Amino acid sequence: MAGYPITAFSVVNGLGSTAREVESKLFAGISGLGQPPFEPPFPVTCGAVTSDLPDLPSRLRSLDTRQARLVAASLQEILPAVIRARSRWGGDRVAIVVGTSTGGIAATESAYRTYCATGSMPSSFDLNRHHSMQASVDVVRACTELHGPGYVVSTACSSSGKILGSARRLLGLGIVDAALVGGVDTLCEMTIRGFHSLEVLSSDPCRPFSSQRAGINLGEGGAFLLVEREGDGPVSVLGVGETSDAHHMTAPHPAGIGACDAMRLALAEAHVEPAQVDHVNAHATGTRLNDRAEARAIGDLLGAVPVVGTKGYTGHLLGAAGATEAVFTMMAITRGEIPGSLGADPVEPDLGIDVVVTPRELKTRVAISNSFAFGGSNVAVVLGGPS
Amino acid sequence: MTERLCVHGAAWWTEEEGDLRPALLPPRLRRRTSPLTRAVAEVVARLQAQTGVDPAKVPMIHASAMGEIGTTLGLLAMMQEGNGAVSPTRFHNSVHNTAAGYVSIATGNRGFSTALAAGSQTPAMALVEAFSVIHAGATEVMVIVAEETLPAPLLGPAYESLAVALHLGAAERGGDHLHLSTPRIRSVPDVPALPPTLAKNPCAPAWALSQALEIRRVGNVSLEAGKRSGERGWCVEIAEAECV
Repeated sequence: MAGYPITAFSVVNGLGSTAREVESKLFAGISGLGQPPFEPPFPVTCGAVTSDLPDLPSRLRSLDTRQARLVAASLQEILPAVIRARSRWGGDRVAIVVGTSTGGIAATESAYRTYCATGSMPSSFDLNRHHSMQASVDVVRACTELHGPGYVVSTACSSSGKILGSARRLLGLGIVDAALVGGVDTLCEMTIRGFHSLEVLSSDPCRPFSSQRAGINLGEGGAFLLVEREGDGPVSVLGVGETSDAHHMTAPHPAGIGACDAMRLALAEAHVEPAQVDHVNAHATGTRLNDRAEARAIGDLLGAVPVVGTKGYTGHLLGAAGATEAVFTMMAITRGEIPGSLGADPVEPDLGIDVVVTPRELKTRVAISNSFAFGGSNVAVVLGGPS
Repeated sequence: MTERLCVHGAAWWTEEEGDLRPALLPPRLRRRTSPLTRAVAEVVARLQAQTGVDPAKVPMIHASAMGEIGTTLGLLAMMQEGNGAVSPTRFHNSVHNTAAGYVSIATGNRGFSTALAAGSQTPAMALVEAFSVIHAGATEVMVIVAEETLPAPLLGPAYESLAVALHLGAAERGGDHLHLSTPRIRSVPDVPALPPTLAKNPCAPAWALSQALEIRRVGNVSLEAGKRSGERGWCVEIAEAECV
């Protein structure tokens, strides 16, 4: 099948600090949810990275934040492949595109608390090196010594699905021959309080597609994918569809039109018919509105296709969700097995889709991974395995 | 490789013009928005008036280095007061793609839209993404680069807000005079000094580009803030259209 090969990936989140650990727990149905790494303002369930994040090398200390350390930790397993790509194509011919919604905001929260207590921001706090979105790209650049174009896509929860669209387009344009793309978000008080104020946060583990679902859990993590013009990889990015709902800043369009269009566009780009889709990794946040609208969109386009929601393992990783779930979809393709949708049982009746509750053997040649966001931003990524 | 894009038009706004009530946003939506989002809506509307671009259909690339930084500071302040509860409206209006979302809702644009950040390279990367969108098959694109002044007490450089919108296309239309080349890293040319109010704005190169287009000054333009003449940085070349 056409498309650009994903020649390597890496992933860190509440399930584990290595891809092997993450995959093992995902397919064993083991949750990575628990408590946040700080005292929350009210009871929450989160997907925190519980393993220690290694200190940054001394040359990167000026960029030090929890976000920066998570970026660096998330890159570890993909670095050998990146070095190989840098050598093959040239450092200026590999792009860096990172999806993040939080950036370094947790560091800014801490600095602002100091300001409130003392009247001054801490002198160690730097807006560009700690708070800014671009700081995450700077960490990647410093860890990889890549010199190609580098930027952040920050469209809330669709950020690191859209980075795969950027990867395809940058390769298509010919400005680079490879793209190191990913998503990293860290837990912080702002998002916990923010989603709580929108009354979509569940204090209990989230239940995507369940009749008992009561809202989202937040999570943190990072995932990176190396997309190359050519190379060896069992999975390729075949197509990406990006649309807008043009409806509401937080609620999805109830008919799921924008979501449906994103999937349709992605399939068209991939030259894949709806009937050829073997499974969908849904956005499936566990809110009443998203899951119903998404089920409708998937059902309308694809019929009763097997659908998995994986946020019951990691929580909603916001800016890191797209890349993380693309990695989960890659794992499903290479294993010939779909993980169970943790928390989905009992599944809401009459959704019109086949929600996979327990792990299911299924050969996947083509899968879609969805991410939908504030502002009505939608992205669908079509991934393909060997024919 | 798409080597060049046709410039259909450019619009801009700077803070010295004063506060905005852009007609693109209906009052119900507008009253919830930040100055940054209003500036974005304003330049989209100005560009529409100038070139006839349909904001309901054109793919949009939004870019800002710090995004909704004013709204974000407001949230941090709320978290330190009382029981720390935050406003749900202010929370969803703090995301980097807030302006993109409001413009799409106001215009009914259900197509492609993205929101980028790249620090001092924000204008450059916005144009790189624009070239990639056209190369992938779009016939036109709107690039909106906007940056608002930093609120106290953030320790950062002092600059005023700006917003720039460019309407670029794959093919010339009547009235097009100029092309832009694919952005490249090259030796930064001598450039006219920026006004002191904008000099430290990380998106000032987008404003400088709009001014160069306005007076049809061909040649290289730096797209990377803070670069001095002779240093290597992202640039774009303005050239005259072959057929006017």
